Amino acid sequence: MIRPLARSIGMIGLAAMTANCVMFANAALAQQAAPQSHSEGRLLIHALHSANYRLGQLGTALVNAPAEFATVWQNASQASASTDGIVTLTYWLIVMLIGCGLEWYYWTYAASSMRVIDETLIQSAAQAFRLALRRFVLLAAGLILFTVSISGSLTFFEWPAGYENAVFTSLLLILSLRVTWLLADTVLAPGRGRFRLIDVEPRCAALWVATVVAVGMLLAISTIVGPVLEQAQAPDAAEALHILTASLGAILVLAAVLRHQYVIATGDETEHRKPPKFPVELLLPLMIAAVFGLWLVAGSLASTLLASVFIVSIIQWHLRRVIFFFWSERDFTRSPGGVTLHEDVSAIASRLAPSVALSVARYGVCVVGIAAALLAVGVPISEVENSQNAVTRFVVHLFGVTGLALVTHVAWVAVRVPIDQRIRELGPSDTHGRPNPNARLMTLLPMLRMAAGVVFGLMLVLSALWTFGVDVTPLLAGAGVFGLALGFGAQALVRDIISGIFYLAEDVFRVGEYIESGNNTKGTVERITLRTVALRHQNGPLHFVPYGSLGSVRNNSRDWSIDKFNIPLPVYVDSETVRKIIKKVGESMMEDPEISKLMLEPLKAKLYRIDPGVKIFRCKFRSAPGNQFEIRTEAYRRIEQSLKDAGIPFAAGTQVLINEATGLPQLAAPQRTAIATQSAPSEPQAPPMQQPQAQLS
Amino acid sequence: MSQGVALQRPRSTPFNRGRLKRLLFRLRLISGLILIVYVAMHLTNLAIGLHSLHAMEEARHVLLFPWMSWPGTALLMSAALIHAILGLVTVSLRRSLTLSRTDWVQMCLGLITPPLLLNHVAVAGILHHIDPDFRPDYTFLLSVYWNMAPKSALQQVLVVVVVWIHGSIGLYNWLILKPVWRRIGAFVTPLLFFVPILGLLGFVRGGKEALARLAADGQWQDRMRQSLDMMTAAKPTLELVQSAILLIYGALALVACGVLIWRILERQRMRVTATYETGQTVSARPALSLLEISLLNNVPHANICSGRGRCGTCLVAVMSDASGLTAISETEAQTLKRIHATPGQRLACQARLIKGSVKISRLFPFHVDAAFMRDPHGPGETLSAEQRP
Ligand code: HEM
Ligand code: FES
Repeated sequence: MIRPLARSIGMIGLAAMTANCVMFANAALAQQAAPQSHSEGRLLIHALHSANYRLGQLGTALVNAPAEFATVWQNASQASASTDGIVTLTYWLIVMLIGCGLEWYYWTYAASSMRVIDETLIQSAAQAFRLALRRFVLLAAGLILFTVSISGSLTFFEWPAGYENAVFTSLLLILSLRVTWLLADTVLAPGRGRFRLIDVEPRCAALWVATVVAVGMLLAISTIVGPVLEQAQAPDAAEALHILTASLGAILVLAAVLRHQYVIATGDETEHRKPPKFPVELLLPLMIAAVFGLWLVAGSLASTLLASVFIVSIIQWHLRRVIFFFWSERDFTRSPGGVTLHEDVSAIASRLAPSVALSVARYGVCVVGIAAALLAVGVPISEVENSQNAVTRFVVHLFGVTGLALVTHVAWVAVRVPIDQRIRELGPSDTHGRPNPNARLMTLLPMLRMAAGVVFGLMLVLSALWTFGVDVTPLLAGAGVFGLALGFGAQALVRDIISGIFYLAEDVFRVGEYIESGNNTKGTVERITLRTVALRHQNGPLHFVPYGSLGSVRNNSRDWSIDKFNIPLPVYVDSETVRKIIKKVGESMMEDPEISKLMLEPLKAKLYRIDPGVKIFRCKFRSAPGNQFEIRTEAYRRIEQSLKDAGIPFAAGTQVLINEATGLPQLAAPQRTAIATQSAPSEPQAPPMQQPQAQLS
Repeated sequence: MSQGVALQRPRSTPFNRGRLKRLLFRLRLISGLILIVYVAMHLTNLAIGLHSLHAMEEARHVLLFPWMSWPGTALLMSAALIHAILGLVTVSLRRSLTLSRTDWVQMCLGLITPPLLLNHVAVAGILHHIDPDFRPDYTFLLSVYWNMAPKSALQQVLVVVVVWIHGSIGLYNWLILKPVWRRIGAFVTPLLFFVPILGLLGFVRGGKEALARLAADGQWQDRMRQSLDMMTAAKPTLELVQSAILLIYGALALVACGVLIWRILERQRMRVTATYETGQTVSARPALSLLEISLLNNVPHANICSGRGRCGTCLVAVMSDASGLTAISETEAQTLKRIHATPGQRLACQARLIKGSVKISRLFPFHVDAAFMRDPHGPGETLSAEQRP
């Protein structure tokens, strides 16, 4: 059930994103279009118009850009080849010397710690993660030192007027380059598979680092240098720069994707790859093309939205692998092939922490995606909440619902995963085997899981409705009244369910036990459901007994059972000899491994009664429940053999009474004897043989 | 103890390749040190400009005087020539690109130095040989740079940083392994930063003062014009000399890079293998040093001096037949002796694997630092018994 739910959460997030994007895209288009256009058709026409307009603008920008670039370049070189330019460059170099020098000095100490990390032999995923983090902290500390010392030394100098901008721009570019590089390098860890934080194809890690850094750099150039150009009265050059960086970025990402796919395709030659259900390989290039195309015709707003939708979907698609990667047992040797996942993903999915992390991450990705989209659109986040716009309000509510879904899902996972784990530990229940000592848990746990699922689902639905402004009070009240009516009407049903819960809670019976209920149904418990218990009678029929009518229950399979039976012997035998013989039989039975494992106390006998002509010995043993019958059979067999060996006959069923009055022998009706030789009613009565062959083979 | 080492030492022939290499590296070091001392004095002189232009000119007679005399000039010139050529030789002698980060910086900065520096050398050094009347002093040069040729000034500022970083990497890497570093380290390290920074600041300050003087002092303007005329007259010859030097240097640099690329690409097909004490086995093309094999295969292997054969941290014990390895060179024998290595131990950066396979055991942890290697038998970390087979 986790998968559908997890997926549905992802879908809700996606839906939120999509709704969001559609809305803002529409708003953006509407802004550009004339205010009176409302119908869809008009909107489309306006979209076409604005695309046309934008393409025209881009064309003009490209045409005008070279001239503007030339002017800018001329101005810049003139500005730099001046007194102020020399001063600026000198100060800039000094600032760099200080920044790089301090960082270098830091590394003369930190390099050793870094190498310790690299040489450590890693045993577990947690250790790898910790070391990767420590590595990151070391590198980040260097970068921070660099940044701080540069910013500090910047303020020392009196920069020539008008040149600060260039200095700041260059430093910002350097810093953004280093930050993206550091992050990409930490996450993808090219050449250091042991420290990788994402399950990326090892041969492509370096490729992706390069791509991320290059694209990040292009983005930085576009956003940092673009405004500078605009300030320098070169708007077309700025636009051309945007076109250039966007196209280059798209080409780079496309090339990386294609290269990645090529590497993967060539790598798996040995194993037979089944064709994918959907041409995923085509999908990514198409997405890139779509984002770039949208950027061309509709500008950065729409394309950012589309890109964030795509990125969120791609991340959601891979998130399970990404998250579970942290918990996977991997190959931590320094093998050149890099890291391979050894652990079965489903085994990770059954653990609590990964599952919770996954659902939190899914939600987090959605939230970040939506926030990025909102930022891109330029909507002040603080105002969204109080917006009067119905669609905006809907989106906000959707946000809330997604949050609720997350909380519910985490709660559900927190309940479900331990239950599932417990069930798996208890093992499959075999209704025809020996009673599983954990049979009660096996019946209770699934019920508990289902109950939790229902409760959580209901809570989610109700609170979602409430979030959307639907008043749930009447619903709850109605449900209360309905519940009351139902309670009266279905009293028996309620009684069954309630008493069932108590039977199970008090551990009256478990699956596999032989019970007799108060209304004389008896049998082995085969199944326990919400309302009834199914009892298999030894003769075959299956009784379905509602808990309500179960009454007092006699459980024959608990702990132990005592079996007693009588042996009549001729009155002249010596009781002590017999007692010893039987005791020996008991001892020999305890020595037989097959039998002794079922015996709790050995067989013993004592003289029970002396009747005319017969001595009745009562034998007694204690065994595991359900096995009395076979043990008794065996005991009989052995006793008979031992007595025969000792030359002691059983008491004859008939006996000759000498009638003193007639002096004639007469055949007496063997009434008493018959009664006496009958075995004392074994208590309890032997249940049907459960493993007939196993015991006495 | 070093008897075994001595036994393995190659028979010294009059013309021994290892010896030649050692001599060349020694020469490169010495010439580099001469150059950096010169540059340091030059920059210090510039730094005095922070006080005043006048003080700068006064100090010039003290600080740069030794280099102005003909033995000084000869020393400097030959050092520059030898160093540049040996630098290119070093580049072409590499077998792989397993350089440390600082080595990359040092190599690249060294290679771009001549084109950047030539302009300055031409005006300040060569011109005066073409036209003996031309006497460049700081005030003149600063005026030229700040007023007439600002682009050259930008280049000059850049080259100061380039040359200084290049030189101080070399100086630091050499000094850090010397026992004397413990005494002078705390003094030299800040110096490596203060000299260029103060020099640059002096350049700015002096430049501004020169500009002010140029604007105010009519007499000085006349002298400037005179000197500039001389410069213009000598310009064709000067440019000819410059382009000839650049052409030769460019050709040599191209050859060096070509040789480097060829050496990297050659014998890619053949493989030799090395097995480590951890059981890991890696392969590489033949004739690489054991250290290069480690680095190319991402095997952590201590190398404080990045394979120059000075530090001894790359020490390995050869656990199998060593016949595939090159013989012990003079450089290696000396370092082995210094760190008291036992027979059967080699410097991974000097022992090259020519053929077959070898089993080695790294003897120093990856994280040893220069402080430890300066004094391997001092208190603190020492090799444990099982590390010394
Ligand atoms: C003319 C252009 C130059 C070139 C092509 C050049 C090239 C090189 C090269 C390739 C190295 C060896 C690096 C290594 O071991 O991997 C080196 C080392 C060095 N250079 Fe330069 N360099 C030049 C100029 C200078 C200058 C102007 C200085 C003075 C500041 C200098 C100072 C040094 C020092 C101190 C070393 C270290 C010596 C050593 O490690 O043996 N170099 N140079
Ligand atoms: S790396 Fe320094 S001696 Fe080999």
